[in-house]
Amino acid sequence: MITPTLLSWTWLSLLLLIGGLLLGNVILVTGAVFLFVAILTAATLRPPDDITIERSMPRAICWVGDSLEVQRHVTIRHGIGPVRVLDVLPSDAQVIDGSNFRIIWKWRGEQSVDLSYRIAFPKRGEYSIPETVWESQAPLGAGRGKAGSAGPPLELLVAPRNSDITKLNSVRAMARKSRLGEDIALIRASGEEFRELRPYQPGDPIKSINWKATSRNSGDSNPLVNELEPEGRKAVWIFFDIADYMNIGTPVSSPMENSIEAAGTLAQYYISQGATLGAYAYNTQAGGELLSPDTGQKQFRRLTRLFAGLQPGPPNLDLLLSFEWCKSFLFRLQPHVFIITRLDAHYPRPGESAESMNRMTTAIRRLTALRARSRRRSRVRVVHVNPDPQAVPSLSGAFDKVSAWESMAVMSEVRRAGAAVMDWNPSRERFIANLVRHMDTYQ
Amino acid sequence: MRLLGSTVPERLTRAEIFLLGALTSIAVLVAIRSIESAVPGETMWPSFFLEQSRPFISIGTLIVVATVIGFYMVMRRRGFAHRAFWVVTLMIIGVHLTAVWAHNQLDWHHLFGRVAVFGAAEPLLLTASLFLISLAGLILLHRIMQLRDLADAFSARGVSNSERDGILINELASTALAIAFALVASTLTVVIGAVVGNSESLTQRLPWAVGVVGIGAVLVFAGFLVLLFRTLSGGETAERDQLSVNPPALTDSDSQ
Repeated sequence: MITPTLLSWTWLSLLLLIGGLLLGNVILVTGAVFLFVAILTAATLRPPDDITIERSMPRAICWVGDSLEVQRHVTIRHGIGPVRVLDVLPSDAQVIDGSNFRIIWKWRGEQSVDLSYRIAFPKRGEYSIPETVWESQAPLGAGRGKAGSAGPPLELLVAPRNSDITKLNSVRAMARKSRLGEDIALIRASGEEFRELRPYQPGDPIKSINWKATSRNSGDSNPLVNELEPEGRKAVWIFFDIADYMNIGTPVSSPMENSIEAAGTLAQYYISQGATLGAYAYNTQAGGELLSPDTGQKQFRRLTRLFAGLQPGPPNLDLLLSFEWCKSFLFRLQPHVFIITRLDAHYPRPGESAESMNRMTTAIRRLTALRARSRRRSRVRVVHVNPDPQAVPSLSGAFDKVSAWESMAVMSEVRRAGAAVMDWNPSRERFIANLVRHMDTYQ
Repeated sequence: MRLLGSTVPERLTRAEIFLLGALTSIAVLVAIRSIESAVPGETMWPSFFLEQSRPFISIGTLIVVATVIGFYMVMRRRGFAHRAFWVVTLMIIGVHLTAVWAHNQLDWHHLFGRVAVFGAAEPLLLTASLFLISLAGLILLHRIMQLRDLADAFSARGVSNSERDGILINELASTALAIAFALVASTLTVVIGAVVGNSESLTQRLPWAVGVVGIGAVLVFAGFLVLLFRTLSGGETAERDQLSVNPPALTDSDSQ
């Protein structure tokens, strides 16, 4: 196959050749030979091929805004000409240094090049960078080329960045004075619920050794002991709303992203205190997503993974239904409950049914009743995440005031149902500051 | 890369204009020299035209060159650069033909009792060299035109200047090498042709039919070689006229 350009030159050379032969003109024939040789050279040069690409990224999990260096080692073995190398990036990715699109010139012989660039993700999520696409071209504009892809696909989990909880830890010291026994016990009595097997450590009671498991684990001389769930561990449950009404504003600053930040901060704080944490994201694309209660950093990583994959969905699964889904856990743990949502979204506007608000207050009453049954004095806390008026033009001006008024109306209903309300405006303060203020208030 | 205070694409633009001017000038001067040295009354041109045109040769050349460059620039700005190139190419070759025509060995026009002579026969080597140089220049001009478009596309894609310039310089180098190779090959052909032509015993024994069939066979063999090389290199993608920077697979949000 010949490209249009080569074809045009071929026609011209044929014209010269035929003219030269007919007229017996050696100059025309020589011109034709010259053009033929040039065309033949262009048409026969082999474009670069046999390309391998090794690609790597330093981490598979990172925080929002972290900068990651993607390194590509490209080896081209045959051919002559330019080679374009491209990593097709997810739409949220930002290249902050270098370029994901590079061009290399290849002469004869094997050639290896190291290409790198830095990317950052301003939004949490699970991302995949497919194989590097390459396309080579024969030189001289002959148009012949080859294409392919190489290098392993890269998977990346971008976790939301959480607030620094140092401020909150200072509040914890104050809390010890007022509810020491309930909140924190540095040495807890073991309960009866099995947690995990672990190697024996000096000081462990002999009765805790699991002899069967030890005998099965004959390769290790250290006996295995049963680790039981500590008794009286504080439990926290977070309900966070991921409905599409939360997904307004910019991708970086929306009530949904701010809810995730708030949930992450709460989780980080309570897990650092040794609390059992469970969570339920409702109104997601899949309906709802449950994080079964557990403790420790492993649980925090699970939560981070859950955050990364959350996508907003229609508000079909409300708080009351979510409560029903999680009831078994809630009855067993009797946790402190945080509900993170946008309260103004539940306000019944004129002509609308008040069912949404009623169902929410019913759910709050049931959640409050859980704590009353356990004789622990605590409250359900509802975090109202205000939309950022600057990020949502439709909420600026009069609409902002109306929205604030609607929020106030729902807040009073929520308080009447027995919950405490944390009114958080992300455009004015970090969540941690709001939380510290409320912790002080509750003491 | 900067040289004499300009980037490679800027230098390409200057080279394009300079080359166009040079090629037009060579063509016009070759034609004029050939026509000038022709004997009045033995050419197609009226004697009056030949006598009167002499004082205007220098200014006429300038006007022609300026007109061609102006036409080319206007067409290029309107997005018809490739069409303009082919018009200019045919024009330059056409003008060269006035001198090249004088070296015809077979005068078909005599069969019809007509005079079809445009100019006197200048030295064969000089005319052939200038004609070949013009063809090489036209190939280079076309490649420069493609590379200039390519440089624009690279810039639009955010390719760094050093990377872009490196590619352009290598492309130019490969073009220059191909032209040099073609020039050597065609010179070799002429030399062989001259040697064969001077060998009386060979030309007497070689019938016309064998010569014509032999040339045809060479052409077919060249085509066969092209196909063979293409097959050996194997698996090409869709053909493109020039280096594209937006291949189909690269359409996602890749322009970072």
